[in-house]
Amino acid sequence: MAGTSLKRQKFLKFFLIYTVIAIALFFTLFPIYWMIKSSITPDDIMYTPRPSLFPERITFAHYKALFTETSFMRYFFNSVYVATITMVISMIISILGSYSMTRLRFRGRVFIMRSIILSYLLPVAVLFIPMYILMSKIGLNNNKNSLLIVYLTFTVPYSCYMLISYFRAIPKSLEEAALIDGCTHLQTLIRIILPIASPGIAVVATFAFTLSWNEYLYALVLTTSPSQQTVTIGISTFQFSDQYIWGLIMSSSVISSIPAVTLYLLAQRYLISGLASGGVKQ
Amino acid sequence: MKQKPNMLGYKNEKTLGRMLVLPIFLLVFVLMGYPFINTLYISLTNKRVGYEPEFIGFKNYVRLLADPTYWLVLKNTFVYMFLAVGMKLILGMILAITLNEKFPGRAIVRMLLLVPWALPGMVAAMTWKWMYNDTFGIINSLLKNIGLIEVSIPWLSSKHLTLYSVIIVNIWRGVPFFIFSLLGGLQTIDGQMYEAAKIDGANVLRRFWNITVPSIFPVISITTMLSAIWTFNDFENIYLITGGGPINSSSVIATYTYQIAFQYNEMAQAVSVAVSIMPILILMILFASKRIGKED
Amino acid sequence: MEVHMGKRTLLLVAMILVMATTLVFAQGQTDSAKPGKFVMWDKSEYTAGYNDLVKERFTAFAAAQGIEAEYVVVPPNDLKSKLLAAIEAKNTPDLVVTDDFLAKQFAGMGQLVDVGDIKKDLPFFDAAVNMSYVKNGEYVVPLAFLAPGLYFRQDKWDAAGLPLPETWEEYKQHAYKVNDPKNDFYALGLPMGASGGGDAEGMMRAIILSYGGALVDEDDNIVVNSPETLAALKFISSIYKEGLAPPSAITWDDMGNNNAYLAGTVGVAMNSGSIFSAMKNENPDLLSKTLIRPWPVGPAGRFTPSGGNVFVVFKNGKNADAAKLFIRDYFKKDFYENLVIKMGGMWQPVLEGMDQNDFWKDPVNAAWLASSKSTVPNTYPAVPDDKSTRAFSEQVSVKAVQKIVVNNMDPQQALNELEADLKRIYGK
Repeated sequence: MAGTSLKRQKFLKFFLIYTVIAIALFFTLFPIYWMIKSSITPDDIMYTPRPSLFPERITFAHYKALFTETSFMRYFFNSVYVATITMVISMIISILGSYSMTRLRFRGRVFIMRSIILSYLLPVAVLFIPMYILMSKIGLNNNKNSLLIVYLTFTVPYSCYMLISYFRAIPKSLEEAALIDGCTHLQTLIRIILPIASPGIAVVATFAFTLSWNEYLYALVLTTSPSQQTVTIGISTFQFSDQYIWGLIMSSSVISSIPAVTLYLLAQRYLISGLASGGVKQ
Repeated sequence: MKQKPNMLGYKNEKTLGRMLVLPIFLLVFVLMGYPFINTLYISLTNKRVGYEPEFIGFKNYVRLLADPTYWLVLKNTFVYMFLAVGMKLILGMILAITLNEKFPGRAIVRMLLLVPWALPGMVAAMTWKWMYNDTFGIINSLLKNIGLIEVSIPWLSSKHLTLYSVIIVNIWRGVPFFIFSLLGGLQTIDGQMYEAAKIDGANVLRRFWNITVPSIFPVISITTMLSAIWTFNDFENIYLITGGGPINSSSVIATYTYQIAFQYNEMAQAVSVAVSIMPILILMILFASKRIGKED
Repeated sequence: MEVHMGKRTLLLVAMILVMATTLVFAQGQTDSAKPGKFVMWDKSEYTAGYNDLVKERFTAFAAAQGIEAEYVVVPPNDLKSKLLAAIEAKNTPDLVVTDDFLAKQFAGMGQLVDVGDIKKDLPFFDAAVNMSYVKNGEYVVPLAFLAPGLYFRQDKWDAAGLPLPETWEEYKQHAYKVNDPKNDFYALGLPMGASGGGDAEGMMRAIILSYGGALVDEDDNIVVNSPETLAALKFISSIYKEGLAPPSAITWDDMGNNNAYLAGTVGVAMNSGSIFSAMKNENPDLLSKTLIRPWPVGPAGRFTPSGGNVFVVFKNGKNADAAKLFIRDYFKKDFYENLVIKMGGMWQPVLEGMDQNDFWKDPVNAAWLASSKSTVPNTYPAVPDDKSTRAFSEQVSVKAVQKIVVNNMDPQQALNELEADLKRIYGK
């Protein structure tokens, strides 16, 4: 009796799980499917009141035009540059800062911890003009390096918050032992905390990359020439006042999505293996 | 950073601590400081782009409080935030719990469910705008084909629907953030606690409320607060899909600010809108940082 | 000992702050000493090769002058924010190509260089001079007309056995018969969205004018609150309320009517030549069913408010002289005439003698050309200055109609609020 009831429970559980997953996957993936499908739909059947759910005819003309007739790939590489470097710099600043705020004692520690989030007080819609003026004054007008500085203002606060809570979850006993043995603080950071918190760090780094990669308003104003602009601006170049070139918009959207999604996959594996190898147990 | 080995002295820890947070300090107080002070000042003037500002005191704020559009936009922003964050939390929790279970294909499902967050906001907005279109959008087309509706639903033109349409997009994009964060928290919970509870006879719901939620409560709070602040300030999503219309029915503070600044070229008034909601944001931030400031 | 450490850190922080501040302001000094680089922001156009052609000419010009120069293509939707930020930072380009009503707003700010000499020397059509007129002075050079036409699905009218409508009222009456929402077809693709290019605002003003109403007269009197304007507002809103236009038209941006017409879901669209060139490239079948007509007539006549592309030169750029020289070079016959033809009917020339090519003998192109010669400025009858162009930019008529249709407001009240809006803009 106990045996069948257990089996039934298990079956119900899996049924429930798969139902939830199926619904979630449908709602999550349908828009993405639609974006990809639109990017390979020929222009003459793109605009119709009853678009067909499945591709009738496919074309790679939009992708071809994207690579050969536009400067899109330059935007793409600019984005790679900006997002990667922003990610690296914000990780360094945030890891060092979060370590300090969770492990070291100094006056002003709680103050700085609480005031980080002040960065989110003003919306970008208001900030971007003073930021633009500031960047111009220091000679970074129309220069993608200005984005490296400005993006830190929203990647660092978020990264610190997440890292602080990850670091806090790691008990101090291991470091205390190491410190007694003669390690410096920074050595304990590098040798002990980082390996344990690496799944969390991977997650936070991915989000920092994604936030930079996806940003639009600052990039629009702080850069002007195609040699400096990023991929989000690239997509908007296919919108003219009168006409949106949906073929190019969808295909550039697909391409723009690839790096962030790829990084995600990598972080995913890390997350799973890192936690599987045993988190931190008391 | 020079440190003498074996020196655990209080003094060195202080210096090191301060040096390590110095970049953050510079970022928040120096880099953001100039725009912040500038903005506060501008809100007390009649600045328009291309003209010199004149000091007018609190006139902008007085005008704001008497403007019904301002209150409408504020209401929209709160509705947007509460509904979107609420749904993201619920759906995120359900999916995080589901994904915490082992089942075949779990790795792939985890990967797939996280994609909307990875997309640029612009891409998501354009795609949904395309899908919502009532002339050739796929949503209306599908609903008609199933026979649920006869005439297209004006997702983006009906003043009753438009705010909810953009909320849906925000939810679609934001759920992965909750899933990821909550899942990370769930995986640090010791499975033995559940075993013990099961033996004691606790059912699924009780295990959830008494074990899961308290254990990951810090993660829930931080994630929810961060999301609330971001959602409250959301700009791109709404601007790109509806532009705030029609007649401000989907307008939120960020798009309203932008509209006043650039369509009407009233920079000072726009800035005063942004400053006027700072108390609200500060309250939310204080709430969030209390959670952070708590010692374990 | 603790205090000693604390002071040192504080000193360090203070030093950094001082250095940072000095850096900020020091750099500002060196920038202004740089030699004059000529920067041009051009509108990005979908027509293949347009931006390439202009860039080629631009680069050749810069080389001949021996100056450093940069040609930048800016999507029109982004231009205003970028330009405003540039103005604030005192870091503007030299030469900008943009829509006339946007350009005129900068005249009032004292940001533009006087271009009276260019306008005197070059033989512009009268209509072009009117299109580029600003009260504050000679600051705007016309570049091309973007005259609108009315795209008409002749096949749908033929199938319903209807003659060609001439007046606004006739269009509405015929619309009842041609309308077919169940089959995704609406008779009148009239936009109502407050969009960047002003499609809807221009159309509504045309209707108001043709009913004998007006917003602001030549002497800056706010004359909008009249029975004629009220009649016009009632007429416009009835089209949406009675389902003769697609419901989504309420939030259409400028591409809404383009796409609807191209998708075959509306019978009438009023737009510049962009739909025309799209059909030539993507949908010749639709083109064969289309008739291009002048805009409808109202009780007070036919009005086609329109604008065009213009040049403006910014004072705070680094090389305004190069900008003015380039404008003259641009208008040379060997370049300008072909450029306009390349735009395939979307543009019409502003300079005398540039409309003689056989291209304009083709009946369709001839229709566009004729249309361009009979347009009135967007702000008509008000004088185009920063206030009237601002009123256009704020889409005041569109807002009034939206209130009637979406909020079910009483038309007279919407009209009163429209009057209040104008008074606010004119500072009355």
